[in-house]
Amino acid sequence: MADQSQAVPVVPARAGIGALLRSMLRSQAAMTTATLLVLMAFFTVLFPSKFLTVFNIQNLLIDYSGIVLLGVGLTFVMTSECFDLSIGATLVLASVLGVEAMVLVGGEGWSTVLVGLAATLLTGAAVGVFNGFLVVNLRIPSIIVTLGSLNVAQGLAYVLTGGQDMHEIPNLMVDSIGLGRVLGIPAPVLVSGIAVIVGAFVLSQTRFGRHTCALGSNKEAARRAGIDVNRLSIQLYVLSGMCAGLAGFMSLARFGTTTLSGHSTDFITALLGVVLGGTSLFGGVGTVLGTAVGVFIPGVLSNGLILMSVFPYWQLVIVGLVLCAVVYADLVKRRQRDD
Amino acid sequence: MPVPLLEVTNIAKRYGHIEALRGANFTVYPGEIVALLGDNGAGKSSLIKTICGVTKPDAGEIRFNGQVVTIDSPQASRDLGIETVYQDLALAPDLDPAGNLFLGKEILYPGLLGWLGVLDKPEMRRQAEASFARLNVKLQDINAKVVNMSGGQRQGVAVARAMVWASKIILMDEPTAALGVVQTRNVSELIRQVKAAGVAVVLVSHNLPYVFEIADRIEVMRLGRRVARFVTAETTMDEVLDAMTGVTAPQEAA
Ligand SMILES: Nc1ncnc2c1ncn2[C@@H]1O[C@H](COP(=O)(O)OP(=O)(O)O)[C@@H](O)[C@H]1O
Ligand SMILES: [Mg+2]
Repeated sequence: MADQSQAVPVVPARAGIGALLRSMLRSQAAMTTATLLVLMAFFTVLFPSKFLTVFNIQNLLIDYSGIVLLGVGLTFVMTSECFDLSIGATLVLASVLGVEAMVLVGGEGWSTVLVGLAATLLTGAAVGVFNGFLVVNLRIPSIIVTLGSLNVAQGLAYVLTGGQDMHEIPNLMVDSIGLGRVLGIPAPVLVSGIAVIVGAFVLSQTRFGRHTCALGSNKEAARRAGIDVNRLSIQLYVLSGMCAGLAGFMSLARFGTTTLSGHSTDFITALLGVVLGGTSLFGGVGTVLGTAVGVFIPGVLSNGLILMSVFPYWQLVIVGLVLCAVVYADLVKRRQRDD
Repeated sequence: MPVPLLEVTNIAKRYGHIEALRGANFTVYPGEIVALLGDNGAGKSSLIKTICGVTKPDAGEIRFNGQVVTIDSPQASRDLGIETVYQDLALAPDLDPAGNLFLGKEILYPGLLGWLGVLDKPEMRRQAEASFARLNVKLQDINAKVVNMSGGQRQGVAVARAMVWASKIILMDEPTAALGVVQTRNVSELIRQVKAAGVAVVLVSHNLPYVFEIADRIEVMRLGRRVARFVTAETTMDEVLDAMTGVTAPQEAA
């Protein structure tokens, strides 16, 4: 082959600004950021006094803080070439068990809130172990396993509550966390922001993240390289479940209730954010920062549609169509690559 | 002949109804280049996978330096100083060459960062560059993902990875099957370097002239068994071909 005969010995890393810019331009995350900016510019021009206001943007960030948390976990799982459809239902179940635990210990103080937090995280972890076990040990495809656990979790949430939302949440939790601010930043936004930064760092800079990419890139190669791929898969489901558990806790804090049927579209919104952000459906490539940007495309869209007084359910229609389009683009890219 | 470094005896492996290995034997002496030959389906890949811990044999014994060992995982094989260049190369296409070279053996920063599992990417890249340069593996862009590289470059990465980590044996399953003339010559060069470093090479290949050019010894498999062993300098291609196709009777019992 021609390229081989004229190859030169290893070229030192050309880690200049230029190379960085070029790779950014090529990346999906850059495309997504550009799309987001265009969308925002569009709505700013359309509604100069309503869209680009501190109040509106802040609400947008708060509204989608939960989706961002779900997206962080989902990014990890999808980078390993697995799915987790159960995150929205896990969120709901975690919030129910969180309230149950707080009712059980009673009280209105921080210790009660901490018990609630522990219960939501543990619920998420438990669903993750369940998912991971079925995927790894019984080798059921992850899309089916998590479709099953989605229904198990949502069903259990209804069973435990008799279908009635629970409101027994300490005022402290709503006031300090749901509506709270730290240095002027709304606490839900802060929590999601920290999750994004930590998640991005772990996925791109640590051994755990590297092994996650390798697992999604070539599972057999990862196994042959001595990586315990089964344990890693379970860990990834636990991570995703715990992100959903944390999102459940934050949802309780924001709304002061369990919002039993308020999260049925959370998964698809998070999924759209993840794939828009540049995480491949085929594994091996994932970016948490991309997800954090990607989630706000459906976010801005829905916000803008409401400002335009379009019936908000149109948002779902658009999300579904965009999802298909983005996945198709991913597919085309993958086919070109594999030729 | 000196004491064998690796002595595999009576390995059996079945896949459903297919008996891939039926009491296979195989020997590797320290620092030699030994070719494992046989027709398609003779069981060469199955034998290699047994030695590198990818599949567990149903029966048989593996001795390493005279000691009976159990190789029940790829890691167990690597711990013995055995590295493998798989027929499919087993690279992670979305990682760069350094990422693949250090996959499963990542270098972490010292101290707290290392405790947190933070990768020392600059150090891994530096060592990878040095290794590729030393082995004369030519890559156009060390930062490119492996998926964007040519077949020859991927081969180079896979072979270099095995060479960097192997201290005793490198197993190569058809390393030149998909390569052109130039790349095949590069791989030969790599194999000679391995030998010069005192590491033994097991080479599965269909290319007889190539084997005669490079191998010290030849072992032939047929229908899941070893049927003949040759010292390359003392045999001919016809003799080896006859053993492969079963024209000559097996030289040894199961
Ligand atoms: N994973 C497997 N499942 C079923 N049959 C297999 C498997 N691997 C190898 N075989 C069969 O075992 C026999 C030996 O195969 P193999 O070891 O690949 O031979 P070689 O590498 O010499 O061509 C063949 O008949 C092949 O079809
Ligand atoms: Mg083979």
